[in-house]
Amino acid sequence: MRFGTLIKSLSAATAFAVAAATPVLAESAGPVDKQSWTFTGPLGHYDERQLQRGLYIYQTRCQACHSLGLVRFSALAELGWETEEGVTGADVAKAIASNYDIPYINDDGDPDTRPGLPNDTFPWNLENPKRAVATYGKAPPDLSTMNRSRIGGADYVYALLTGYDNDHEQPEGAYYNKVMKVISMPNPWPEDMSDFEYPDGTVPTLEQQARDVTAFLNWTSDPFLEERHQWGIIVVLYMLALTVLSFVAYRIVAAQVYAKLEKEGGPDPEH
Amino acid sequence: MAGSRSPFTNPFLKGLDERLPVFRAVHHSMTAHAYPKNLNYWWNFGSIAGIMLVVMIITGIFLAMHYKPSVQEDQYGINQAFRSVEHIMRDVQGGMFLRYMHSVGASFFFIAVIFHMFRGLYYGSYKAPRELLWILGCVILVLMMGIAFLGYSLVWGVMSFAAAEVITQVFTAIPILGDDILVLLRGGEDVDDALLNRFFALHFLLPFVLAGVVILHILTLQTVGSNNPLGIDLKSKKDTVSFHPYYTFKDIFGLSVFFTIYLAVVAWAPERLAEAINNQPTDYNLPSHIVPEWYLLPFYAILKVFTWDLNLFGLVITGKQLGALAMAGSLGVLFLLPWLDTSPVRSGRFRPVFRIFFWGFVVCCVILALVGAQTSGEAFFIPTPAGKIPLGFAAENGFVWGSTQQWGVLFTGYYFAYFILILPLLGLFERPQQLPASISEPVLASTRGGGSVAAAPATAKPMNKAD
Repeated sequence: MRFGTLIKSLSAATAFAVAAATPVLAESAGPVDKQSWTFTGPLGHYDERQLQRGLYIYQTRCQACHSLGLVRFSALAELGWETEEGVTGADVAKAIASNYDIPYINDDGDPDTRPGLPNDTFPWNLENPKRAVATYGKAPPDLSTMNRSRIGGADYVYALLTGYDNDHEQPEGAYYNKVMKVISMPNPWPEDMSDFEYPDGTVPTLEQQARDVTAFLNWTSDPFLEERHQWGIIVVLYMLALTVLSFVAYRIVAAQVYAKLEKEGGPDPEH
Repeated sequence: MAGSRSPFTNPFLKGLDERLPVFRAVHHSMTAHAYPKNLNYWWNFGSIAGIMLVVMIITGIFLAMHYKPSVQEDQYGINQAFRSVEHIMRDVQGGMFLRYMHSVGASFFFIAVIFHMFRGLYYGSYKAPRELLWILGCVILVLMMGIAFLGYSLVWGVMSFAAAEVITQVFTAIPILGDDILVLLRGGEDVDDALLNRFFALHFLLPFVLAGVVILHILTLQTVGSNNPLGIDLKSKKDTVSFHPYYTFKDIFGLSVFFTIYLAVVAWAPERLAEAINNQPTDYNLPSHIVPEWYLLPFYAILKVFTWDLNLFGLVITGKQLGALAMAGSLGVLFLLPWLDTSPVRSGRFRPVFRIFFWGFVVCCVILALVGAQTSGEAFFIPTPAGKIPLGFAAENGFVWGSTQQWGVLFTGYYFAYFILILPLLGLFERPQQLPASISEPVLASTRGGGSVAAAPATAKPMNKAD
């Protein structure tokens, strides 16, 4: 049994709460299949190579329309880059940031762009919601918290990304997707992807790309998941030890109190 | 306590206490009061709830140091309030733990209080002389619901906006003054910056009001004493123990179990109890399916099941007004409970018929929670890990038998009937089982059958105080 499952079954109230929250699932029209991810389970962690590939897919296929307005470039330092000696992850993050143009107001008071700095967040190609609406009729949502803001999380995002069907009859002014049926976002996958390659040589099937970018978006959504899981293991082990000790202490105290009570009776009842 | 001698022998502590008798008051409350010796684990939840309040206030203060109540949007269309919450999660040292301990903590605070209240309902802890104790508890519940709602709005996500919009709208059900009250609550016509700022101010203030009521709750408890699983009064020294060390150690054990589960949820499922869509900043559109946090669901169900208008001899009460009245009534009836339950026997252990209706009431609350979470016009179902168990179906003509709304009306009826009909009548018609003579002699009493030591239930006066 997974530890997370055990925890859930421990608390009836939690189970009740989960059950109560489940009906909202009805929102998604199509099936969302459970996938296997490295970041689920009590020791779940991110596959850093996968996150790097996911970032690459995000840059190639997503960022033309979407933003990561809550993710700083400096956070990318944590993606486990294999670098030459003397070059740190922070340097890599800095280099990635400098590839982006960040809009700002220059010293003459005019709108201008400058190279990105590690402290900047990923800029939005569409610049602002008004332009996004003017261009596409509807603003493509920011992806910083996407996996956290959909029921099913990564499974949902993966199902959506792999759910496009160009052969299906397309709804008017929109696109067909198995998960949402009608979706404003066009199919992000070109018909011909034969010239696309991963820098690390991974075979870029559509499923692989969807899986990688979903993992990356899970990281942008929940960057401290590993830290939390490690913290959880330590805290819960500590709490379990405390539980055992406090139970033993309680039983010892109880035995003493009851023995005393038998011998001489307790204090006078005040009530 | 006043005029009593200092219980301390340490000269420093003694000197301090003689100048500030707070220390003897705490010492007194821990050692001098006699508590029933037979409190079971259901009695742990009171102190657990108290500790959860402390956890919420401490984490909340630190969150408030970084939170910005502003609806102003940046170039990404993300409002500043939402961004500041994400800033806490992403940039503040330990911020993710603070934030999740606070948001998950709200759920676990409610879990503790819900167990605490159902324990009180089952063992009759609301009956004389504990009416005021129960009423103060109800005040705490209402305050908690308000504070939780205010806090949920602060995130300013999709569901935060929907909650603020819908719940403030409820007040327009009040005749004549409704619209003015709405403007007063919102700080304007719309759900906007003014609302967010006053919600933040109130979310900061009210927990301290709550803490004050908790202190009154505890003072009342120490005056009237704890109820116990047998629901009978303390008769002799043999029935009692002092709070320390017996119950301090028992509470520490209970607290350890509770915190193990709580912290495990923080680590592995911090979003499991929340609405996922609230992790998206609001675009000021109402989502198609609006649901509150799980702990407010039963009351939300009662609010939304009334879809028809009531015509009382020309006086028309709209469905919205009925819903608002019913929701207020569902809380208000709790305050009257000490006088609605007519049975002189406190503990459900000796009330076989009451037990059936009590568990029915527990089921009722769960069903109402499910009703609150589901769409009114659709077939009702019970969600299980294995899939949905449908409790309704759509007929050929399109009419839905067993819709969420119908189940909601049925169980809203049971909710009120439990308090207004069942409990008053049960006290008159139910034949309780024989009460034990004292806490120390429950076995003795039960083996004697209709014996002479244990008084027959009809003549029992368990509500008389021992002193």
